[in-house]
Amino acid sequence: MLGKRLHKRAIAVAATLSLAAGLFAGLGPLSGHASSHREAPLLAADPQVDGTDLYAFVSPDRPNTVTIISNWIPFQEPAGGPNYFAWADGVNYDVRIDNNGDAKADIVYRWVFTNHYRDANTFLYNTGQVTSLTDPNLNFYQTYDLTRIDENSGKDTLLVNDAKAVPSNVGAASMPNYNSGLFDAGVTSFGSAPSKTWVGQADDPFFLDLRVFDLLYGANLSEVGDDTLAGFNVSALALQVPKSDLAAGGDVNGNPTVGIWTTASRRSMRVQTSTGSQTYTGHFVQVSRLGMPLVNEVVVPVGLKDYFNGSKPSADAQYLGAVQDPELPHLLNAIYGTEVPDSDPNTPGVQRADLIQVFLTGVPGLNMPDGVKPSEMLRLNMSIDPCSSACSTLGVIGGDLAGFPNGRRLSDDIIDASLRVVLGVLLPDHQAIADTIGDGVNANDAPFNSEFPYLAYPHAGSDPTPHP
Amino acid sequence: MTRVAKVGLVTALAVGLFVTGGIGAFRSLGNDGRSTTQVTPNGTEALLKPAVGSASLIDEIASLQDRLRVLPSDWRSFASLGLAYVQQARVSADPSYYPKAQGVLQRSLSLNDTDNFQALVGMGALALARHDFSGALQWGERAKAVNPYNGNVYGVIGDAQIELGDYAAAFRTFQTMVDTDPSIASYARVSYARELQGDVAGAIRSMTAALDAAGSPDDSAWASFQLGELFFNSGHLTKAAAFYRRGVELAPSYVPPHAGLAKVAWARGETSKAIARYTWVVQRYPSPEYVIALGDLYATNGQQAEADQQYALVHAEQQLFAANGVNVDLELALFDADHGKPVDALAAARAEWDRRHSVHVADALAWALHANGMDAQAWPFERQALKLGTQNALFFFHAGMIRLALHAPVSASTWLRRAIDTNPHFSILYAGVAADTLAGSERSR
Amino acid sequence: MTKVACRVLAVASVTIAVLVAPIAASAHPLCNFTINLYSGIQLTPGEVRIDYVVDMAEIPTFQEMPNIDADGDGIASDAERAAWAGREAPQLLVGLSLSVDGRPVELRVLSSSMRFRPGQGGLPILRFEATFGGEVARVGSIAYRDDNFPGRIGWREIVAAGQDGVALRSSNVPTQSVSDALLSYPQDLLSSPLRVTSAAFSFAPGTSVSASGVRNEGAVSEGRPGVSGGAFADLVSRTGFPLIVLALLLAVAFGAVHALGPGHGKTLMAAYLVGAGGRVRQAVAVGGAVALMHTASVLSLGFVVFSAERVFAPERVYPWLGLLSGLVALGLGAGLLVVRLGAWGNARVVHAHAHDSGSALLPEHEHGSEHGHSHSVADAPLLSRRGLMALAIAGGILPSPTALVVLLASVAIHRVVFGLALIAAFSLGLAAALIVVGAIALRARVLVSKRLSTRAGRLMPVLSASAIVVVGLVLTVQGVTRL
Repeated sequence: MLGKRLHKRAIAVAATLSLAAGLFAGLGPLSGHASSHREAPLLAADPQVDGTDLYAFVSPDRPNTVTIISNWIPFQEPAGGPNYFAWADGVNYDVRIDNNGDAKADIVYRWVFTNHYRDANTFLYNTGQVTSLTDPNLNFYQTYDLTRIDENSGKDTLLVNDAKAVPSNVGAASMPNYNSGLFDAGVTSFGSAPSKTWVGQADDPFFLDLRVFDLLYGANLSEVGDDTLAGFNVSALALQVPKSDLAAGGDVNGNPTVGIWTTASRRSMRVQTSTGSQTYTGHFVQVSRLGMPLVNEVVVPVGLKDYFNGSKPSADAQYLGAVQDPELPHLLNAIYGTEVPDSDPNTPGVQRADLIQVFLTGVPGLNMPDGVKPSEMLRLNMSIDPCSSACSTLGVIGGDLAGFPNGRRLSDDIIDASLRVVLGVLLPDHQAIADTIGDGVNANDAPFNSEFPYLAYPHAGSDPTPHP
Repeated sequence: MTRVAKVGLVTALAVGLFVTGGIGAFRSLGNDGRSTTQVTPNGTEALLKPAVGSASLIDEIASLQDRLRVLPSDWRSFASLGLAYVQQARVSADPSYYPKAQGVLQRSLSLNDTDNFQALVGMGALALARHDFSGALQWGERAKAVNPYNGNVYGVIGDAQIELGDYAAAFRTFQTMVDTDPSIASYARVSYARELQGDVAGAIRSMTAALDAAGSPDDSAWASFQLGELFFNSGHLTKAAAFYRRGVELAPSYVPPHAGLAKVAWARGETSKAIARYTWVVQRYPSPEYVIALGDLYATNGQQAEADQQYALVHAEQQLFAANGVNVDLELALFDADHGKPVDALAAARAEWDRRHSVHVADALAWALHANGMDAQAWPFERQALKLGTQNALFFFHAGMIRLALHAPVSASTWLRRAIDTNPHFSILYAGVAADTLAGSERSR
Repeated sequence: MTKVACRVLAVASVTIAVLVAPIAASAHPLCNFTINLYSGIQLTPGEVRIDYVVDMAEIPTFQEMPNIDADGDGIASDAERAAWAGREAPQLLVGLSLSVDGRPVELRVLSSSMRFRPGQGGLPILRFEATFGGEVARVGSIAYRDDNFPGRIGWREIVAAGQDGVALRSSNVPTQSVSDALLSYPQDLLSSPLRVTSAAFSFAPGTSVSASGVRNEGAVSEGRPGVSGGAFADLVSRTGFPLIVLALLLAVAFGAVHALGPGHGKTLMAAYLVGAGGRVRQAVAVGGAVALMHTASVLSLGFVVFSAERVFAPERVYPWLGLLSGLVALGLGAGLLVVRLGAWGNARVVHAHAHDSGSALLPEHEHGSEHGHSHSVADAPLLSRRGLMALAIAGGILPSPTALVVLLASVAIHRVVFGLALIAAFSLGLAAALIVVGAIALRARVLVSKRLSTRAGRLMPVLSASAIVVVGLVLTVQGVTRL
């Protein structure tokens, strides 16, 4: 079991490193040259601003509302490392919404966190049993403000002030009633409908075998079929608001499709202070961007990943080429001899009108806004009701229009759906393998909740074997 | 062939085939999927206690090694492993990781030399660690050509420019870095740039931001130690001690904060405690800086024999530097100047000045010239050392002593006063000298 | 780590300087301050001995020098070195703990010595060697820890081996030093300096594995059937007639080579044929059956893979097939063993009689050998249809992953016929190789049995049946552990 855990961690670590552009932590040197040669960390991990997944779906139990969940700080080992996975103080965590297809944000929901220590003399996370969010034994805690910004009018509305983030689950001894006393208690309601927000730690809802990406390095694929993320936690920002709050002009029937993406921004600062007026902080710099799943892994070339994280959707037309002829089908072709799909064989070069629809414009008749400007975001047609029968984890390609790529539900099998789309399942006359390819992982390791925030409870730090 | 030989041959063949079949079955039994290489018994986690270095970094290295044994063409993991080795060499001070780092980084580049900026950054980091600053600059520029949107690229370039003394370029690079990727790495560099320019409060604010942005206990420990240094060097002992202690709490095996606490003990007059702490540090990591500090502590405490033992160790380390073809380090040039080998000190400082013109090299050269009685030549270099406005008490002290030797007592007093005002505990050896000299020169006026 | 690493480092710096920069790169020579420890645990009946080595690099050696040079004359005399080693040994012993079944074992210093070797920069490096010993029972579990020099950087290595009839079990440390007891440290890009500070194992009377055991040379994980098809899998993408012929020929060759690799029923077949006193014709039959079974197995697994949802998980089937093959072999062997033991018992009773005493059991085609068989005593029935089937299953049901890849690849690129032809050729090679193996085994049997007494000769069928049981057992265990 120990070996198994190590193995899974190994995959996880390696995956973090190689998928997330290879950045990781390290100390500065034990410098024998303290005064003459300062060596600062060169490649520091920045998991706090590492956005991993974005979900958006019509709430199954409140179909007049939409739920948006964005996940951060990946690969949280329940029992390992720092047992508190804190949000970054002073960072703008944004969910951005384009409700008219012009590739610009019209509405922004922004969470900003503040750290608190009850006893500043200790860095301990808790000083005794913690049974509620206001428990004085919770020595370190974080609060957040949630603001809605109307980008068109410039009006900011403070929706939630000093709400408490749900702490990480350090274990049964410290937090005996975590699920009911802390996780469930983290839901904060606001507004009349009412709207809700929840911020805290959850089981990572993404399920996949990350080793499918190892095929790029000639990996032995006979081992896939194991949920790499099983037993890892993640930090999540969840929001549930009426559809009319998102639709342009509040008109859900007239403007049902919204494009959603999430960003994190940190403040820059000024190096030189020659003017005498010491300005310490600079502008906010966007350091993370995420909309559709797997875009960074599948579509954006290696050398452009950093650029992508700092870019805006309105400049996405430049990715047309990468989407038109992505690398992945060629790699699959080189290794397995699968066909490189082409939506228009009569035009020279590879054309992928299908991928452009999925990744950049939305699918016509489903979630493509009128006059859409091609841009990468998760597009949700809010007028499509949640599935009641014929639900499919494959979403639209499984005949279930309420799922991916029309938004994304927690249970959607993104890897299988994406691999099939990349291999041309949306094209007529596609190769047979496009109907069957997958990673062998078809469901999450932990059950999702039936109510907001729907996420599964996190694995406890006291769980000796979180990874099955 | 005789009949016996035939029998033997055929029997041997048959037995051989039988045995290979059997061995095949047994071998795969004992080796099911996982490598059981004896050099790294990764399956026996409990046996692998990191004595020095961070657990997470060691985990990462082990993970990447495992992965690369299975995926020997994963150039990204090779690049990551190279960087991890560089970090590990620094953290553990075990330089056997450097050739490993070079090996895996070259492997990564041989697998992909078109858009592999991670490996280029890694080569830059390796060059920096080996004090090959010009080389680091070239690697950084190559990485920047591939990916100008990555903050680390500017970290490599800026660090090299700082060490080479090209401050204007370095500050521009760091500004680009923090505007590209605000993070602990860029905040820490802003802090250093501000410190060099004499903006101590600004440096502390940036380093605090770096601490807040730290993503791991190791990074937090590093930033805490740096804050301790900033407070110590500006004369704030209590705050310095608090941050050193925090560094120790966050990463108990990380040595520098322990040395910081030893320094604080000395500054508070707790000499025996300081000696005990430095002795502990030197046993774990006898870097010349710490050995010299311990020697100076013994010397100022009247224990000359013990001091001489430590100084002898420093000389032994110098011998080793030389044997490795390494140019005598700046710290060692200053050590020579302070410990009766002025000629060697001057030669070393001049050689370094030929290579790079940083303020620290200028100061060391000035002090070496002073030690040889060449104060008139020393002063211009000391002024170069002071050109950025760095609030470095040792620089101020050197300036004061050179001015004194140049028969400019008023100017000397001013500099010595600044040294003491900046940090009354700026040097184990000279803090007292500065105070006495100042008192003397003020009495004589 | 000390010398070697430093030298490598120095060379590396020179190289990098030449490659990238006009100026000399400066390496930190900090490897000169490692303290490296080695414990070689040896168990002999009733006794445990630990060969303990401390290898100090230049700086710790230098730091230690005042303690060695007692008279302060700057020279460490023989007497001073011996005295230091004598003082140091019991102190180092304090840092070691060894317990059997949880009870601490009192260790004594049996010998100690110290010498200097030349290090870098004209500085010496210190090598301390000691032997510690203690009494232990003949059976037990040992836990060992080395807590000396905590926090010091350096190599930490522990090995353990039994001698003179003591066998170690479930040891978590190797039997052989990878550093030659700290005299030469390995340089491998994908391994970190060793840091083993504890060991645990049990011991009992048994066969000692000598300390010169097999070294696992950085074994890449294997054992699991993989998709990494290698050269054979590449064949499927060939085109053009000459290339196709070449590909088919190569496939035959690959099949033959594959058959000679570990596994694949060679051992089983040889053992069976030898025991059953078969002839070349039977070898052909068995070889052919195994090859046919293998082909069928590859094809059906390929079919399963394509009809099932999951493209990527054919390996799920492997452990089951492995288990099946093991169980069949086990059953076959057990059956044969029972029959042959019985026959052997009978034969002993009727030894005084003529050689034909057991011939009633033999199928009629057994007679007529040109060599005039002298072994036809109590042989089991040879190659019934069921036996043949069992052999084919045991030897051929586990499909070669390579062949499977070929099949999958050929389907993926729409060259199914070619793929099938390649697999047929592969199986042909497999069969040919197995037949040759069988023939050799038979020949060996004939030659050997002529030299053996009749008693030993009669034992052979029993032995070979036992061998089949053993192989079956191994395959079964292997299958179970992989499930």
